[in-house]
Order: sequence, then structure tokens, then C-alpha cells
Amino acid sequence: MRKALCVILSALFILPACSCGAGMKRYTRIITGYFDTATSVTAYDISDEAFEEHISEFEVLLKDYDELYSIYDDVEGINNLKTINDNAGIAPVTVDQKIIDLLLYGRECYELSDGKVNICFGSVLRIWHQYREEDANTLPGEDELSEALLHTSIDDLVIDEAASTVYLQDPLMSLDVGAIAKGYAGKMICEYASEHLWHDAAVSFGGNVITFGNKNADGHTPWNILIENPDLDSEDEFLTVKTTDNCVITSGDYQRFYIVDGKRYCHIIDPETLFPASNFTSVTVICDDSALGDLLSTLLFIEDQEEGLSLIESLDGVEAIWTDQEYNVTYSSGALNYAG
Amino acid sequence: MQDDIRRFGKKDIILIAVIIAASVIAAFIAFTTSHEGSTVVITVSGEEYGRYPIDTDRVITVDTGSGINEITINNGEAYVSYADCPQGICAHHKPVSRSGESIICVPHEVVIFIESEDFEGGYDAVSG
Repeated sequence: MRKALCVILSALFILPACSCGAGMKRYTRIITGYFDTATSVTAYDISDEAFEEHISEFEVLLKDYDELYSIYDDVEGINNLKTINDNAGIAPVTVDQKIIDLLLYGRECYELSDGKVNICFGSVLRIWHQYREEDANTLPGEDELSEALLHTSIDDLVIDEAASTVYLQDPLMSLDVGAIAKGYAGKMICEYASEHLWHDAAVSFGGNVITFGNKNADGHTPWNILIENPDLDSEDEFLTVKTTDNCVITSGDYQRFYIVDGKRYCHIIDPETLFPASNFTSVTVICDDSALGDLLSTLLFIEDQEEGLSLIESLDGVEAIWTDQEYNVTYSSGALNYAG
Repeated sequence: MQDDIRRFGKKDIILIAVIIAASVIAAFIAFTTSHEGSTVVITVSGEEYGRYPIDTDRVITVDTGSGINEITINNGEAYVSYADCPQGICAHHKPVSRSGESIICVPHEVVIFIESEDFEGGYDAVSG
């Protein structure tokens, strides 16, 4: 009886000393230079050496997708989205399967969103991008935007899957995948990462958060995800989401914008008005597919509250949180299970 | 077996007392040595630039070659007090102090990150 007591008490003494899953250590790395944003990885790994090896592999994937999906940079020896845009109206471009897959997904997004999220909207988006970069003190003219709108037809996107080529029929059209690229690339990268790199990780691709496994690598603790406060002047913590094997994706107007006459003009453009959407300052989507989440967060940012809420309630396992310009917060029916 | 069953005696009580005392001391050490936001880690283009205890006030000027970020550690928190990047988003970010919080200057590739032993109260990722 004394021996049993010894064993039990010794075990109780030792157990509290480790809060992580056996032998796992927690690591965090923030990687800059890809997708024009920062990517953070918090993962549990067996040793410093193992983590360095895994994070290098992760960064290679990040670089690969970043180069392929870029519409701004030429990459030597690689045909990427910029190459396709530069050859609009000229010739089909042979591309990597990862580009074909992204663009096919883009077409699906067009259908799902009734045309509101359109990867062929580059000619209009490019105008707004330019005004933002130059921090102009004027807005683009209606004529300029309407003319650009004439070159945004998804039907002019020709994908030949057998030949692995992409051709833009209209010489004045261009691809812009900003609404879905991070979510899609993130999904692909994390599918690989969860199989080959780490059992437990929380990754943020410029604010598109994907989680798998558990915090503490203990098989049960949910990850603790902070939703950024859209009020830049506030020092308060905004909302947190506790979840596992799930994605938390936020679209907002508080990072990429410029100001004219005291009013903010953000980077998410409503295809009906051709102007930045302004119903909300932040929309967060919680779902287990980050590509879908990226599409939905953009769509919900553009749509009004009623349409958006109705869409989310019709989707199983998807929740959303909207914050309007007065910082009023609306939750979909299941969102409070995760958030607070 | 009958011979092994002895009465619960003084030695047993001492053994239990020692183990409990040791557990209490270990727990005390664990709770008092972990505290929120212990180190401010600054990286530039992925390379570690410096690590600074959050409870020591200082100003760090990082000249990245493509621009300047001035980071102030004051009163147990860190923030960007000056930056010459195009939009100044990093300078607008609220001060950080909790494990997992960060401020990032994307154009200059400067990351200010809070690292600590205490992960329970900290975030694992930020969506925004």
C-alpha cells in the first residue's frame, strides 16, 4: 500500500511540470517578404534542429506560391500570373498546375458569388491600386472606371487543362487574385505542412489563419486566435476565437487604404458601384476551408448584412462576425460558440 | 500477503509530507517565474536584430537600409514610435506586451514580437 502511494504521489508531482504533449516544444517564426505581407507560424516540434528544417521547407513552399501567383513581379524562368496578364490578347501561356488549379477555383468563386468576386477584375482593381500607392488626393473618375469595367469578363479567361495553358482573350483585361490567393495558397501549403511538417500548428498568412492539431500539442487545447481590432485608435483587445482544425479569415478596410477629404477608401471594390465597399470595417469568417473562407470574407465585406447573414446561415459549419463602421458587432448564430 | 500489510505509520506520514512539500515548492517556482511578455524580439528580413527584456525602458532605432523604424519599450510594452514607411501602419499599431503579439512593418520587413514562457494567456495567431 505504501509503494502504491509512493508511485501515485510521485506521478502527481511530476505531471504538472510539463504542459506540452510529451517531448514537444513550442516555436514561433514570423516570415516576411511573401504575398506582400507577413506569415506567422506557431508550431510544436521535437527540437530546434527539426523546427529549422521544417520551417525552411515551409518557406520554400511559400516562395513557390508567392512567385507563381504574383501579378506584379516577373520571376526568371517561371511563367506566372503576371506573364499571363502581359500576354493578354497575344498568346496562351504554359503554366504550372498550381496556377491552373487556382484559376479553376477562381471560376467557381465567380459562380458562388454571382460575379461579385471576380478574378478577372484586374483592369478596375489596378486603377484603385495605383491611386492608393500614390496616395493621390483625388478619386478615380467614373469614366475611367466604366471603361475598365468593359474588360472584366470571366468568359474571356480561357483555360486549357490538357495543354496546361491560360489565355486572356481581351488584350485590356487582367487577372487579380487578391481576394482568394492567400486563402487558396494557405490551404495547399497547410495540407502539406500538416502531413509532413507538424502535427500541431497555427499559421497566419497575412491574417488568414489556418489551424490544425492543438495548442500545447496535447490533443485537446484549442488555439487562441485574436481578431485584430479594426479601430486603429483603440488600445482594447477586440475579439478572440478558440478553435482547432479550423480557419479564421478576416477582411478589413484598415490596412490597405488611402484617404481623400477625410474619407477612407479601401482595397475591396464592389463590382456594382466600382467603388470601395464601405458597409463594414471588418468581416471575419470561421470555417474549415481557408480557400472558401477567403472567398466568403471578401463577399461578405461587399454584400449587405442581410444577404451575408442569410448566406452564412445556409452554410453548414461556417460562421461569421461583422463589424460595421460604428464598431457594432453582429454574429452569425453559431459564431459565439467560438468567439468572445 | 499478510506479512506485507503493516500499519500506516510515522514513516508513511513523513513520506507523504515530503512529496507534498516538494510539489508545493515546484508549483510556487513555476507560477512565480513565468510572467507575461518577457522578451521583445526584433527581426529584420528574417534575421534576428536583437532581444530586449520588456521591463527595461529603451528606444531602439532600426535602420533597415530601405527605411527606419524606431521602437520604444516603455512601461512593460513595446510600440513603433516612428517609421518612415509609406503608410505608417506599424506606427499606428497599439502597443504590444502579451506573448504572441506582434507589430510588423511589411515594407521594411521589420517584425517586433513578444516571446515569453507563459503561453496560456497569449495568442497563437492574429486574424486581421
